[in-house]
Amino acid sequence: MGYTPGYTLGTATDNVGKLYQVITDIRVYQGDYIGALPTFGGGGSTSTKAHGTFVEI
Amino acid sequence: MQVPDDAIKITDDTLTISLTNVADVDQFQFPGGAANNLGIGGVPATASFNITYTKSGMPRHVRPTSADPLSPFNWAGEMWMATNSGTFSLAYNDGSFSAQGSFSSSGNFGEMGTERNGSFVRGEMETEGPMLLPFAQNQTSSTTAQWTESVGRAINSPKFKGRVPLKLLVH
Repeated sequence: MGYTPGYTLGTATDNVGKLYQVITDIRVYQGDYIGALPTFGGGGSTSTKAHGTFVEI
Repeated sequence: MQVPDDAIKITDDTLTISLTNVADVDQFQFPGGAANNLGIGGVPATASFNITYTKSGMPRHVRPTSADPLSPFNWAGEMWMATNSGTFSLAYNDGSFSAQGSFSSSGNFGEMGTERNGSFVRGEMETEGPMLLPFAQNQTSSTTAQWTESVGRAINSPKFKGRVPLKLLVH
């Protein structure tokens, strides 16, 4: 799984011209993982391998 | 959130992520709601951003030092310190607020690389044996005793732990 967390600092301006300081923690993941596959109905699941890309904002 | 694979572009030294009009929620409280869950409150919003992370220095190699699948020490990988920069914009769906700006790592902590945990790392500790190493302060994803090689061990503070609600960061 590729993995990229990073803290950022910056500034932003809103729609009325107000200035903000912005601090974020954005993480990116891409690769294989073991997830849950819906099975049997009623909320049941079984583990299965999958591939995906995910972002935490 | 899950995004298309082609939302990120990876080269030898960089990773760029570009997202446009992603549905998100501006969560005012963290955790939110009476039961301290994450499902209550917040304002529906869309966000767009473009960020490039760039590796720096030499990688450090991390080995698992615990066989407990719930332990933060149960992972292995190869990680580089990283800088980042980018631009973003966001808007509440009801039109009551919007903003745009730019940011960079500005000396704060960032890293990138490859890692594996859980069943993907099972057996490596038995194969290579546990490794206890000097404690390095101010790590986040890399835990104590997991540094086998360091590139300058930057002072990485302050850091947030876990996710930070958007509303707290935009004042």
